[in-house]
Amino acid sequence: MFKTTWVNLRRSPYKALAAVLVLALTFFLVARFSLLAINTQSILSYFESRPHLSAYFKNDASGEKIEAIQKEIQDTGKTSDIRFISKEEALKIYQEQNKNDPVLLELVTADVLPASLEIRAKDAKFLPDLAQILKAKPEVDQVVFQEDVIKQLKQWVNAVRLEGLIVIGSLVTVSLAVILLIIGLRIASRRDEIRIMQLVGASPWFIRWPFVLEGAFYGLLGGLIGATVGFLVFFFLSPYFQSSVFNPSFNLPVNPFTPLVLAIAFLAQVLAGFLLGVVGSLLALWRYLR
Amino acid sequence: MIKFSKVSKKFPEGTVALSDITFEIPDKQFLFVIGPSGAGKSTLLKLLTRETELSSGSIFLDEEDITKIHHSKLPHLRQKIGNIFQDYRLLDDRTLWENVALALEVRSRPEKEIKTTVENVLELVGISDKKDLFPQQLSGGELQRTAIARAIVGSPEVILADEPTADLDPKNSWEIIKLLSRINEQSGAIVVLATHNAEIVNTLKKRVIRLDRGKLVKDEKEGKYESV
Repeated sequence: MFKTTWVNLRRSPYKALAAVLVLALTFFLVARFSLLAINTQSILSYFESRPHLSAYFKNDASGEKIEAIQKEIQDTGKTSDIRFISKEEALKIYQEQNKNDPVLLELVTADVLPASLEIRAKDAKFLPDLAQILKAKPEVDQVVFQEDVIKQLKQWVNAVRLEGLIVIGSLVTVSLAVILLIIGLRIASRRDEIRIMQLVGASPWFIRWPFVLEGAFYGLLGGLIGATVGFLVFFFLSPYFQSSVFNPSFNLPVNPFTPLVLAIAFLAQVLAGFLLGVVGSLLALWRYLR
Repeated sequence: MIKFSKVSKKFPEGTVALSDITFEIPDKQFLFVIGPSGAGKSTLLKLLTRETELSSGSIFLDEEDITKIHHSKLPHLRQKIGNIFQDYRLLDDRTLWENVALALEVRSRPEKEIKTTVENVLELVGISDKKDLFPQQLSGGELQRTAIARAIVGSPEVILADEPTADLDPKNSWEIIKLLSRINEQSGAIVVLATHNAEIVNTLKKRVIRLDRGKLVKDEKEGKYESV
């Protein structure tokens, strides 16, 4: 069975090469887009988990007033978390963020920085209401909320994902068609042999197996090459990517690419390649050898 | 035993290949099927392996109506029958040994058994020294011996030979026929041999049925080949 498959491959190396290359291209892009998708997902959740709304107080706001406001906001039931950041804490955060820049550190004292409330809403749709309440308070100097930023980021990420899906979807279709065509040609060129095998009493699967194996081989090899190149490119590019898009002040907390995630993503792609090859040849068998 | 009962075969375009054929072949019999080209000899053999479907009637092999066998069980039927063709029908990219072994591989026999059985059969048909050669490297007589080896290696109940000597010289033809006759005597398999070769039929003095334009026109126990 394996021998028949091997003979088939050796007989027409260019067909085999074409199949493997198309599959490799497909899985190269699958690798790129899937890594990008995992990455953007983590960026999104990072932004989503950040305080949605910050209210900065005027310098003269008293502790009691601030507490009263905090209670009022809490009582709306629309928040999931409220944190008071005092001037001193704000300074600490500032110092931490700019610890490499002594000039900036010198300029700022706790007095300059406002105290603030960092509020996470249960849902983004409550943000305008909460902002309304806070803006109405004379003690509140400024209200900042990131709803629009997240919304835009989400749209952008979704657009990238949709485009990725379309590109991958078309390439998967093309790959399937190429395998179907190549295995179909193979079946056509071996009609006589198939007839002989049938006459000798070969069961349908005895005849089909070598074709399925051939498709599986193309898929496996294409998936392996494509995913390997895709992952390598990712590893070489990601340092630039990280440093340009996410400059240190962004301080992206999680790296989603643990070795386990990477290994799973890689194996999933090789497996997908294998399955694509099998499905392609099964389609060819269904079409040409019923 | 094989039994043809009122078997007819009409092709879609209207040609009648066989019409109302009824006869029996007892176990261990060697039978010649003769007749001019287009008489329906090949069709008769093809019906036995269900390479062609009949239009009406029934065909029994060991009490089983093979015309009613489900498609999925055809491999099993075909494993009971060894086929030999005028054009050998060997696989060009496999050695003689592999061509013969194929018949056992499709029966899922263990590798060890395949090895010894194939060696024995190649010995029997007299080509064991050529077993590693490919079909293109062999003469017609050697190819037909390989085809016979493939047909008998699975110990079939029936051997169908469709003009096996048509492409061979007289000497090789005789050797092939003698080989088939010997296999028939030794294994007890039914041999059905369709041929044009009058000399062979006349010398062997076996049962002969004669077809003409799809009809069974003669059935003789020790028949002769005469032109009508």
